[in-house]
Amino acid sequence: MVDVSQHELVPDHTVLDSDELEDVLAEYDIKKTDLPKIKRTDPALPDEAEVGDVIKVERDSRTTDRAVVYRLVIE
Amino acid sequence: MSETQYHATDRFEFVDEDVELLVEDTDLPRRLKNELYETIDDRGGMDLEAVEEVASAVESRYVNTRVDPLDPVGTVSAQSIGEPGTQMSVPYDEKVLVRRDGETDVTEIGSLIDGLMAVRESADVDGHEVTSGPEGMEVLSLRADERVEWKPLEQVSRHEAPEELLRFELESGRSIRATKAHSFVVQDDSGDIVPIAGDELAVGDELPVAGEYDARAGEADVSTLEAETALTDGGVVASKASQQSSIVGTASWDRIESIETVEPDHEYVYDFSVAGLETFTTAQGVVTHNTMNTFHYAGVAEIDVTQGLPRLIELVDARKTPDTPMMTVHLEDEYATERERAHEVVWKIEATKILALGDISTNVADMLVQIDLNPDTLAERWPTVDDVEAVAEEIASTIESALGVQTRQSGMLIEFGPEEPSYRDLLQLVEDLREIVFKGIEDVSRVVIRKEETEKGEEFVLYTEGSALGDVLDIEGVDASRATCNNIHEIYRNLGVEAAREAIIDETMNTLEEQGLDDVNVRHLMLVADIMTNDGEIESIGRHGISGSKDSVLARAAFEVTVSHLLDAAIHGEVDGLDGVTENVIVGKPIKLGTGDVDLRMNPGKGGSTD
Repeated sequence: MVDVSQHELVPDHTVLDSDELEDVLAEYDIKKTDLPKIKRTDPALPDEAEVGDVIKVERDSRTTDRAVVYRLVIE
Repeated sequence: MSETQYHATDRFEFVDEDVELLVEDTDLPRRLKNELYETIDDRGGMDLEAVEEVASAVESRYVNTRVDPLDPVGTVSAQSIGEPGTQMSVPYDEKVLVRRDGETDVTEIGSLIDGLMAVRESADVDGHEVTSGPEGMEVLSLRADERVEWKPLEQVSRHEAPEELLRFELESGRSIRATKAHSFVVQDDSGDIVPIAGDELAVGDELPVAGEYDARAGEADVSTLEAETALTDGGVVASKASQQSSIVGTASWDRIESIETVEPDHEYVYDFSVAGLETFTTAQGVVTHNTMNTFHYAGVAEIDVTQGLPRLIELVDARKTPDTPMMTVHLEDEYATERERAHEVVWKIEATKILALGDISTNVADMLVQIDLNPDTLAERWPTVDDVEAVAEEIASTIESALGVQTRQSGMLIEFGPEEPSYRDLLQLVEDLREIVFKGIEDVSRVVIRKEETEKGEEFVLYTEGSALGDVLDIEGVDASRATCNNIHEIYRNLGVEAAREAIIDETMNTLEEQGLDDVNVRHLMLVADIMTNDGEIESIGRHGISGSKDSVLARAAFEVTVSHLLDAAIHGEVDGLDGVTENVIVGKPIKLGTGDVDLRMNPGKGGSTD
């Protein structure tokens, strides 16, 4: 099977640990469930991600250099 | 085959189902089919084999003698010179067909051109005398799509005749003489029309001819030539002729029976120059061509993709399968630079069906389907296998497992038949056989290779009609980091939701740019793509997706299917929180952005306090 993270359309996906997660939630004053979602079966997810984890996605953006988004892993 | 049942079995006593199937399958008009049935009846019934013989004899006779409407019956002459600097010409007395102000005429090319040379100024180009053609004169010319059309005669030329000329006799009785270097046009293996030098032609090659040839008269009756209205496909149509049509029919192909060398009779040999494919036909209907170097109708057809508004609708509605699925496949390393390796990948991707591999024939008498494989095609498409026999065996076993029949294979021939001798089963087997994919990915119907300039230099890029991203990414030689397709769902399935988001932005951006709307700022498209991918999958914007999943009743009702939303809400006692924009606009409240983002409170404290 080919490694999709090498594909040019796929940005970097990393799992957030709970400290970083708290910082993020505090900064935006949101709950975890308010975040955009990503499915557990998504091919770009790192293997260690589980339902309930939050993934940090770093993209090369068209409007700026780097853009960071967060997605909650759901079923 | 037509679905409508003629019910010949009811009308004719001795015609049964199998016979009817056979007859209906032919290309004959209703009238002739009926005659067939009647003949069968008169003879008190015929067995299937005999019916097949008769039917195919009738059919071939019919097709061969049939003249399509507006076919030029007779001779059409066109010859074209592309570059006067080449020795490609025909002798003085070769008759050519020309048209001027609507009147057609057959004339000796020599006398026509000599006449022009006498009265006009001519230029000397490499030993050729060249001058412009008569005003408003047209000749019949072969187009790349094998249709024959009147085109303006641009230039004429003559030069001294060489020692020897070649004379070609064709199957129909037509003949043409030309210089050895004179170029004709033939069809190459892929069906494209390409130029070929006279001395490269061999007995058995086929030259394009137009219309029917009357061997007795030596030429055709010009007065029967009619024309049909020129099709507006963007081709050039002579202005004078536009009131009366240009296209007069389709060329057919005539086999060369003999080639001999002859001596020229006259001092000069002559040529016409016509725009376009630069062919013209002689008075006997043989299409000849000039110029070897310029014309390269290689048939690089562009792949047709949905664009514009329909494409935008497809994207926004998140349709599962686009109308024109397409993939762009980049190749890796040596596959990208060497043509041979690139072709290897092409054959791994493009679906190979039986028709590309050989000829199918049905032997009704023995109830067999026979396949004659082409060893060259097999070698080409299985480049890693040396022995084509092995490929043929593989094909035979594929057929066996796909159709459930026993096959007999010997060399390049494969045959098999239905278990019970039934004509219907036989036909069914043939139909099923056509659908079997022997190599490549089933969904990919066509692959086009282009050599392109990229950041990595010049490399081969494959474009496919048909999309199967998952399978393609696994193929060796494919650069799995750059392969893409225009089906967002496929990208979502194979590469994830973030990639899908990027793909949506790319596709919408491209669609708009292609229509000239490149000022649309990308952040609007980014917003749309973000909303569509917010829930981890691709949702459409419409009532089955995002707009339909809003909490607010009024917002949904305002969008589509108004009454049912209101009705359901009333029945279930739903509450609308009036949080969003739409519903607040409906009831006339300020929206919860900007001014409405804050509530004002009054604190009735002692005057002057600012806490």
